[in-house]
Amino acid sequence: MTFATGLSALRANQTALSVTGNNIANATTPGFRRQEVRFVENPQVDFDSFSIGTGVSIGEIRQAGDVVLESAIRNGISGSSQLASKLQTAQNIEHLFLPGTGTIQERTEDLFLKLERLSALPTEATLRSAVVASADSLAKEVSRVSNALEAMSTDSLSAIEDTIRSIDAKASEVADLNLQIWNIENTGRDAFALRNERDLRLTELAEFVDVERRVAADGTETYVMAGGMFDVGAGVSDLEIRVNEAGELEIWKEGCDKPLTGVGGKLGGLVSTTSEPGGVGDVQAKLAEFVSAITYFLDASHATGVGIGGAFKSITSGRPVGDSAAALSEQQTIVPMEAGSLYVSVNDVETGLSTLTSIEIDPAVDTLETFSTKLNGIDHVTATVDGAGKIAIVASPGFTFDFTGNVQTHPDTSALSDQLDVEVFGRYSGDSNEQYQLNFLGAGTIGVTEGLRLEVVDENGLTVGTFDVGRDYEPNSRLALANGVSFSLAPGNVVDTDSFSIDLIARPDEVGVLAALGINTLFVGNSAGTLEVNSLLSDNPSLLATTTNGDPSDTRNLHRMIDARDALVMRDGTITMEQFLADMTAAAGQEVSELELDLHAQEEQQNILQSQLDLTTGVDVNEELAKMLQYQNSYQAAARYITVVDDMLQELFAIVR
Amino acid sequence: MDIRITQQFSNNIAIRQAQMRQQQIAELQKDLATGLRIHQPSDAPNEWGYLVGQKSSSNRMEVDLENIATARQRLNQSVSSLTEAGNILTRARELAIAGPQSLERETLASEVDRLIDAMLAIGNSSVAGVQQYAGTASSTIPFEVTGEDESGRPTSIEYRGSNDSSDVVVSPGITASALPSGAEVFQQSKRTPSVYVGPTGAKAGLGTDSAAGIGELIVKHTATTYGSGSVAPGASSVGGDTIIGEMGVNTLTILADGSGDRFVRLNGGERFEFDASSTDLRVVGPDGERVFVDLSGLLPSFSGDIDLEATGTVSVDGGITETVIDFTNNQVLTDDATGEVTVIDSASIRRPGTDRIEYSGTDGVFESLMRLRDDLRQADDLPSPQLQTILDARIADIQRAHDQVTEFVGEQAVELSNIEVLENRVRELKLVTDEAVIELENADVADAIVKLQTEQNHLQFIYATTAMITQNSLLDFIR
Repeated sequence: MTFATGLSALRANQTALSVTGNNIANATTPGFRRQEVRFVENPQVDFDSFSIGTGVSIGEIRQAGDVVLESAIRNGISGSSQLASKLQTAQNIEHLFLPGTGTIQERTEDLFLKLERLSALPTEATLRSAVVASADSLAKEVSRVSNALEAMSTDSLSAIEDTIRSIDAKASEVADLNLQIWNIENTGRDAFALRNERDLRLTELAEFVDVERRVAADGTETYVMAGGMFDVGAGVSDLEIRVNEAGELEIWKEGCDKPLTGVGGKLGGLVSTTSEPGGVGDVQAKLAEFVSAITYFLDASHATGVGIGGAFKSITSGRPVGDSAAALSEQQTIVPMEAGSLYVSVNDVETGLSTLTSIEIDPAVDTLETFSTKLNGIDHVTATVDGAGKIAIVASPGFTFDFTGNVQTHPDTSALSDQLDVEVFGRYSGDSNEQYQLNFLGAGTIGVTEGLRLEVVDENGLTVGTFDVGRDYEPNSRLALANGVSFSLAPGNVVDTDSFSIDLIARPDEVGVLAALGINTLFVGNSAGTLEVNSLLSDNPSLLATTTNGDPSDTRNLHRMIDARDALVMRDGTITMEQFLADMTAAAGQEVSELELDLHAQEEQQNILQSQLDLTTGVDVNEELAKMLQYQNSYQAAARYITVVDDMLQELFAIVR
Repeated sequence: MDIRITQQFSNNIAIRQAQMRQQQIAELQKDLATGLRIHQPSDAPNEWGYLVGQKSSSNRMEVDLENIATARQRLNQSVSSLTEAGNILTRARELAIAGPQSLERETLASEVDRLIDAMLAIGNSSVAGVQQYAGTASSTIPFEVTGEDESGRPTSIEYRGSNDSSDVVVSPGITASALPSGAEVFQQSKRTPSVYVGPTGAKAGLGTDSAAGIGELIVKHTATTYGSGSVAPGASSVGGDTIIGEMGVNTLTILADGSGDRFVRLNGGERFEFDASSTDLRVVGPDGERVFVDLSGLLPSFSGDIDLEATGTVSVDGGITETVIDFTNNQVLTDDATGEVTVIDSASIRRPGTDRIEYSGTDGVFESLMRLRDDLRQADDLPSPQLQTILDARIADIQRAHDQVTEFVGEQAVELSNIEVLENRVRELKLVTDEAVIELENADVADAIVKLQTEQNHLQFIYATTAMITQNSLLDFIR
């Protein structure tokens, strides 16, 4: 019977009570793992022929934990964070196309609806203004969305830089804690609190970047991040953000010959949103594709029409080029160009006669300057290029010009053997440019000679028709040539070698140079971000080029613009522009929906793992209270034991006294 | 493995489940507040494209219906106007028929004047500032009076509008001609062989004229030559002879009776006595044609037929250009002023004089009416057979104009009918499309309310059980 035995019990239970108290105190502390006390029996001592125990002591204080589960949780956090980052971007993109707020799709539809309505009431000034206002609204929305996407791209870059700084900060804290843990554990003591703190920092780090625990053969534990390219303790300060040729962001490590891949966490999410399908870069590219298409089809149609005022006395381009001496193909034009002809009609105001002239343009060779020179080669037209990269075209007094490609009312018949007036009527409605050669078969007098005929031959040399212009033909009466165009022959004599040609123009601007340079276009601006409606139209909606001849109710050119609505011009000619926008919006929604599902699944899995960890390492207060009662009882018992021993010793001392 | 349920575990479950239920409730509340099931693309990405497409179609059909209404209104107005035009032409035809027998032709002409004014008003009618019959040039008054007589009556009306009609998009790829060209309605021509009214005998040649309206053929005698050298033209022949024809067309017959008197007959007509002194004998044929002939050189013993040839010139431009008659069936005459050509059968010309050429089928509505008016006024100056011929031509002109207008009304009526069919189809299609949009987009309110109640119940269960669990603790039993 010794006091020491009781004392050991008092000490052990007091320590255990402290551990329990600590567990209860930290029941809700983030990163805390419950601790357990393991009692061990003190060594026995020999007494007579017996061995008697000497009490109890604390063998160890263990901390609950599960490194595999914790690693899985960190991976989950990294994955969730990556998905959350991508979801945030996807939601921001989706918000740009939210219905009911005048989206690009809605405004495009509105523009076409107003154009269609205008076809019924083309002289209504309010409707013309409404069309221009609708186009303006579309341009503004395109510009707003484009700028918002640009801002998102810039914000992503900024967020990436912030994330890298956060990674460095957290990694630095982990490195400091590792050092402290090493110092303490080298003295043989436990560093539970520091380890908990370190692991909490690692968990926080996993939000920013993927973190992986590695154990060496000698049992040494290390943590790496960013696809294993960095030791956590080393930080990621030497990361470099680069923009590749496709405009996508990439993360490079100094000294590496290729960008990092497989980076997780928020950093991985931010980087992927700039390059992956459905990301900012992808949506920017699609928006640019749409803008190029609508600009090409509406502007190209508009450029080859005229407003109610008729042909132009002068006009200046609305899309300046950077270098007027550089090839047109090298300019940053909003629509592509290809080599071909541009047809220019010059109209004599007094006589009403027009002359159709074509000039050949090769964007790979021609510059704005040479384009100007070629225009100057046309009678009664003067073109000049200013220092701002714009071209101004002016007609001589008494003349006007346009790019409608309207039929030449009086084709050149100077080569005929006798003076013969040929007049051409109508508007060509064909799909391609055609030149017809008309050859007289036989000699005689038009309208008189029996059997006198006129043969029509197309560009391929094929005879497409023959007219009787002899006895049964009424001179000056119209003969239908093709697709809405007719012609008449005045009375006169011809021989069988006489012939003349008639040009029928469906595409007055095969090059696309008018749209590219912004000559009489609906929109101006060289990119989605700078798209605007032509201010000339805002100031005077009657200039809206709905006509091909200036007649107020001529809606031929308006129909061309309306036709663009149903034209299958996107995705290799499979869908319309509106369908493209709808698909783009649906894709943004799909991206959000899929990411929400993925994130939800990830979080559910994360919750399960976290619950499992909580069951293993968390503090069950009731359990701790039960232990507390147990330790209290043990302590009380030990104290009672000491009292008994003391009483027995007093009895012994009384015998001695 | 120990079964340990920590307070943190219970709390996390409670919080997570409560959050999920509250999110569901918020979404259901949004559905009920807006009445919509799909608020944004991510709500139903697979249905989004279809929904947008259906909405777009519906909006487009709305505009189509507006355009159809505009086109229908214009066509109705046009049909009404042109029906009135048809009535005007019917009345004009009645006046033309009454003309030859009427003793009050001036009254008839005055009524035609009023019909012209009424027709002009129809041709220049406009709705809301848009001309009905100017085609694409809808702000231009299409029919302009470019000439008037001393009484202010129009003598020339020219078309200033466009030859192209203005089309309205009434459905994707379908247009309706809402503003026709006035030329098509009021100025269509359907040329038939020209009619020559007058003494010359000229006829329409083998060819097609380009001149239109009415014209004038002036035939002049140039010279007469005789098949026998012993007969020569008299001194008054030039300017006095009234025959035209190739050699053999006209014949002079020399006769002698038993008393020694000699006679001459032209084309078998009346006998005219002559002798050796007859150097400028006037010989008149059965139809009043005459020649002045010098028979002084004729052998006394001669009797028989002598062919003659009478040449001349023709002109269709008032004598500015005189062309020698070539006696062919397709002689081309050109009006120097206009360049228009007239093809005549000059072989049939027998007399000099002036013919009126009716370029049949070339007059428009206004020209037909003005010509009727003028012919009624000038009828008293015309011999009865010619008057009947001319007024018959006017009746034919007006009937043709009437037929053209009526035909055009028919075309517009058919287009109107087609548009009405289209309108009904678009209306029905829009209804179906709108229903599809509602079906797709709108929230099922009853379903949403039941779900909302269910979610609220779940939330209450969560709160209740959480509170119940947290109430029970060992702490409550430690004394």
